[in-house]
Amino acid sequence: MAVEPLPLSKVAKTLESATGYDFQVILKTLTSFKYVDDKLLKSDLAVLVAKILKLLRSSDDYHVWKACHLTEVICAYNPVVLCSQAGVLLTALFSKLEQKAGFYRTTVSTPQGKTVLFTLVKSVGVMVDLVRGKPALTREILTPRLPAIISILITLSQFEPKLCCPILKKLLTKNTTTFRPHINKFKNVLINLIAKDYHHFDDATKKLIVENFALLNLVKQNSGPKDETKSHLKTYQDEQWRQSMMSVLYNFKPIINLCGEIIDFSADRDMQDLVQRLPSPPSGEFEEFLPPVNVDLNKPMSLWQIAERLRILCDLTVAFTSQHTKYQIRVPLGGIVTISEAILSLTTNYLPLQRTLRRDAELTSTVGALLPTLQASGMTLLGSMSQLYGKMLLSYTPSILATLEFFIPSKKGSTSIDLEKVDCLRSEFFDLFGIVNLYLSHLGHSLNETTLFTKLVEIALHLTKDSVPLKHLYLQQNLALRKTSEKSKKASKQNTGSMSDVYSHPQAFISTCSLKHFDSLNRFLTGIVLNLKMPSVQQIKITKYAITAAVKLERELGQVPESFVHLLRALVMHPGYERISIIPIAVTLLKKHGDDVFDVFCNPRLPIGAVQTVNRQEQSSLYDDHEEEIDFSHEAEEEGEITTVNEDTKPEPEEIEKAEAPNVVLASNMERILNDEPDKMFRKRTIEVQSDDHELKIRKTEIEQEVEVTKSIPVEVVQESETVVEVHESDVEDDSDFEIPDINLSDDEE
Amino acid sequence: MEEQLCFTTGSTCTVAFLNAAKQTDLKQCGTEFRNGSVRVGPSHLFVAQRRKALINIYKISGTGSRESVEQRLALPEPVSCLEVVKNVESQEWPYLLLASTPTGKLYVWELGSGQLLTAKSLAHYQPITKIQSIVNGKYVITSGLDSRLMIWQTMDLVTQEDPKPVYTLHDHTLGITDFCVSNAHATTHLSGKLFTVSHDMTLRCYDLNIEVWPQPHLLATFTFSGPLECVTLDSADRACYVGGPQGTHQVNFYYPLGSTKIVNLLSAEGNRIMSCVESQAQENVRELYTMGQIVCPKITGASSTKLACSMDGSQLVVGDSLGKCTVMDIFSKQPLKELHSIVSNESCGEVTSLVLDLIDQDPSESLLATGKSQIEHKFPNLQKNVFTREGLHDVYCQITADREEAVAPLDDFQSYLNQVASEENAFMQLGSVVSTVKVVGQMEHQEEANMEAKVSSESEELTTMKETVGQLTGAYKDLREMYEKLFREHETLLSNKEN
Repeated sequence: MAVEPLPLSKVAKTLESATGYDFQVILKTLTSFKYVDDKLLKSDLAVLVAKILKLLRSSDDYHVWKACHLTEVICAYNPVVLCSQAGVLLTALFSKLEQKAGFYRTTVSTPQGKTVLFTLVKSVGVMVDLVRGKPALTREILTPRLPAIISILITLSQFEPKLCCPILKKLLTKNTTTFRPHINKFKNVLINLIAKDYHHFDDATKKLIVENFALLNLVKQNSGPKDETKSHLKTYQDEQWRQSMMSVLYNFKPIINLCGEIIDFSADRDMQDLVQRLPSPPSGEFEEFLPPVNVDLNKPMSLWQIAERLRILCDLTVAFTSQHTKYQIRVPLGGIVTISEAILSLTTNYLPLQRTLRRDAELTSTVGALLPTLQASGMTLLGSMSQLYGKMLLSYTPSILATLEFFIPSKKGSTSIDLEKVDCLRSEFFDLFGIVNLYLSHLGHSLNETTLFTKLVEIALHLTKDSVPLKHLYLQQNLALRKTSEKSKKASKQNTGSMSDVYSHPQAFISTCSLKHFDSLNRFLTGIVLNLKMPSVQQIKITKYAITAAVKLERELGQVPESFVHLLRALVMHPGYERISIIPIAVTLLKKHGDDVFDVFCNPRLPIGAVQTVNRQEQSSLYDDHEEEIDFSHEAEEEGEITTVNEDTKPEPEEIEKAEAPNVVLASNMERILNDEPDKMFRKRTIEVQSDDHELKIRKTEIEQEVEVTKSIPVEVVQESETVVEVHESDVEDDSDFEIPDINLSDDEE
Repeated sequence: MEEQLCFTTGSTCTVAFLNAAKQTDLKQCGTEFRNGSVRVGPSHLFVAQRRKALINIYKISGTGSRESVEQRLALPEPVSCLEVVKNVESQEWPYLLLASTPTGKLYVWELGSGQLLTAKSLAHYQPITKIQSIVNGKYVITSGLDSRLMIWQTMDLVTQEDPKPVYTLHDHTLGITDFCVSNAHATTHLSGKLFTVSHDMTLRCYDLNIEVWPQPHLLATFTFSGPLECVTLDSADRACYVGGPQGTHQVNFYYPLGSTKIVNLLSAEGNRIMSCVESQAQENVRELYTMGQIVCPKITGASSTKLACSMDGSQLVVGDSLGKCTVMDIFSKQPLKELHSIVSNESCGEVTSLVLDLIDQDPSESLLATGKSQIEHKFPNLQKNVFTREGLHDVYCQITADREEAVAPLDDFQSYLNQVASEENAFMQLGSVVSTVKVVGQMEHQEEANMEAKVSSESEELTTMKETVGQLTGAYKDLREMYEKLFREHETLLSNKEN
């Protein structure tokens, strides 16, 4: 008996007064599909919608807020309401939004007003999403209202890009033509956001802004007067897109040239060559949509603007290359790789500073901190490219890996790694590890150049150590103590008075490597171990780290973290040039909780159980025409031997039964197959793939032979099918009991 | 879901389904070299045309699939074998198109830009018979009639001017006609097994695992009674099927000796040579095995040129020298279905390539379909000069759209309710603490307003009190006046009386 749903008229009555939990209960009630009913439309649903509309039009913010959520839920879960009332609801929502957005300053001055505004925008977005894709609804409801909605959202997006940009992005991709008149306005808003306020937003919002900027170019803008002389040339669909993308890329060259004021490019011919190859406009002029960078060498802080600008440009490039477009785009992959290589080459490892700058300490230290930041943005560009285009970068990979090595800071005048600088660039190195892993996954095992990887392994292992911020202090103190005599004791005493903790409890200041960091380091090391054969030194270091850290963390957490399990597995399966396997250690570490991979590794097993029966069946079908009785009894015996004792008696009655009425068995078998097959198939597939396949096979042939009798199958075949059925029958009857013993047998044999 | 089967002969190309009756013939199609067709992306088929320097492109599944040629790619010279190297998931098109010529030259094109990355002449000394990319496209294997098999790193092929193979196998004494590699392999490194067949009547099995062996290790050799043309593996490496003019045989790698003993024929004990014999009723399997013979069931007697195994490992598609395909049930060895080309003629020749692929049939192929027909993209023309790796290097590509998520309330109602609850906070006064959020700038304003309000309320009180006082004093005055008036009257009355 079906329980009648709560009548909607009752729900409608409580709408106004409901708060808190009651309101959530109402929302939950409205999700029921029982209200999707034509009959309710005239009576109850109409009442409900009228109530919602009344709430929506009221001047109380709280009521409006409630109405927004009610609208969202009822339209999402009730297609009847959506089709009949979406127009009214959307109009009401929109007029409220218009009113709120019109007085933006006053609206957002109170938290209530802000919440209502946010909810209204979201509700409009949800409604537009719901209506989209339904042709009649779109034609009648969405298309007439869309221009107004778009213009309001654009106005609002100046203040609330995080709120509006997701909706605008969808509109841009889905309703490109409707968006066309608003393109310029939106473009101005976005350029303003990018040029002025870009670094006031979080990463997600930044991404949204640049993506919207890229998507603006989906729409073809005024193509200008048509050049008659060029009309015979092929036109590309992505002309607009391409033009804007290129103008972003052209912006890189001046910025990198600006860095030539700090670093001496002329010292390295390759660098000069690289700068020369940067994409530049053929005519020398291009659209500069961003204001010029204002850098003053007398004010070192102003140098950071270069980093800021490069970050924006890199983000824009990624946005342009990562969006789904309706047509194919031409991506200047070579150009982008050249750009990122040039950015990564901005390092003092190999290039000297400009002669005139070397004496200014403030400036040199700023440059020292600035350059890795620039390199990091080039690195992220390479990372995103690899993620998006994968193997397409393969032909550039050797040079990319070489340039990635530039990021590793080296000590002055030597090639050894400057680990102190590495400590300052922790998060950048974690990014680098991820990027290197991306590229590694496309390479083969034999590489000419592996210094990058050995260096990175060293850095990774260094970063696993706990960082001790006091190290510096101790060093300084020691030096100071040695130098200064006792006369300054009094003064120093005053200073160090509150510093006693530093000396008495130094361990309290050590920041341990977090689990998250361990995870990303382990992912990198696993990738290295899996993809490359490392020299013994590195392999041993990695192994040592994996074991000691795993033991330590196991004691702390009670279990070995997942990423360490993966690393241990990789080390066991890819020992590199090492002769001794660490499998006993790995198993000991993981024995508390067990591990499927090591289980199979230490107790190797093949899918024999299944194959065995298949072979037997095949044999019987091959040889048994004349000796089927014997064959079968053999099988019964042997299976009895394998399985537990009580199985012995089982096959015999069945045998008799079969001998008496094979047809009946066949029929019941068919029935059973028809009834049980699907779930049986799935259940068994997980346990024992092979056996199932072959059972399936047997069934199939049976069916085939039953159905296709007209196909004039020779008489022997029919006989064969009978024998097949017998074997099968014994198998099927016993299969549930037999599965486990079968596997045991195979294990024993191995 | 359905398994789509494409096979070509010298003059025809047929697209059919393993379990359905639908069948189409592609127009103007035919290739005389083995393995001259390849699936590209989810829906396209590339076929190297016979005696022409052309690749015909057909769209064989999805919306807009048709029988006629969709695009023709011109080549520097006629090619024989084709293969693609797949890219990451976000890219629809594969990365590389590999082609070989009858002279043993290997061409490597980047499909996204049409650039010729490498043209390796004399990769093999005789025609290449098959190209296959393995381990997610990290390696490429080629086999040739010069009885050699080479394993290349994909990176070497695209970066080096004169790439060299990482491994070369030359155990066969006559041309290698076909090979296949385990379907199950590691994600990152060369692993699994390799099976090669050759005209020298042998099937050889190698272990590719480079973690165990320094180079591919020959595990076993099986000899047959005739030359071998083709090989395919069971989906789970349990058996392999070899075909030749004398028919198609099954080789089970887990070979039963008697009732309880099973031999793994591919154990790593070194190169064992076993001869495969057809089943004879009287022979004792154990005795045969000690003599180095194993029994291989014969699946069909037809002269086969190409083989393919179905997804569940129960059906074998046998392409034969007459230009037809037979779907065999492996267990019962019965033919289930025969597939001819529709315009079948005697002169079409043998089946030259056979592609069995899993496709997802779109159930909503109706006229009311809302999605606009996708704009078809042309593959860029293949260049004839080797790419110099300079300049912008434009690559055509289209990023696949993200999967669209349902709107918030439909997607995850529980988190939606959570959101509702947290938003409601703004309107509610929680607990017993009475507090309102104030913006700093407004504070002073409000305080002033409060003060004013206070003052005004006090003054109101005062006025009302004053009023009442006024009223009361007024009433008292009235009474007093009345009393005095009466008193005076009374006094006058008294004095009048006295008077």
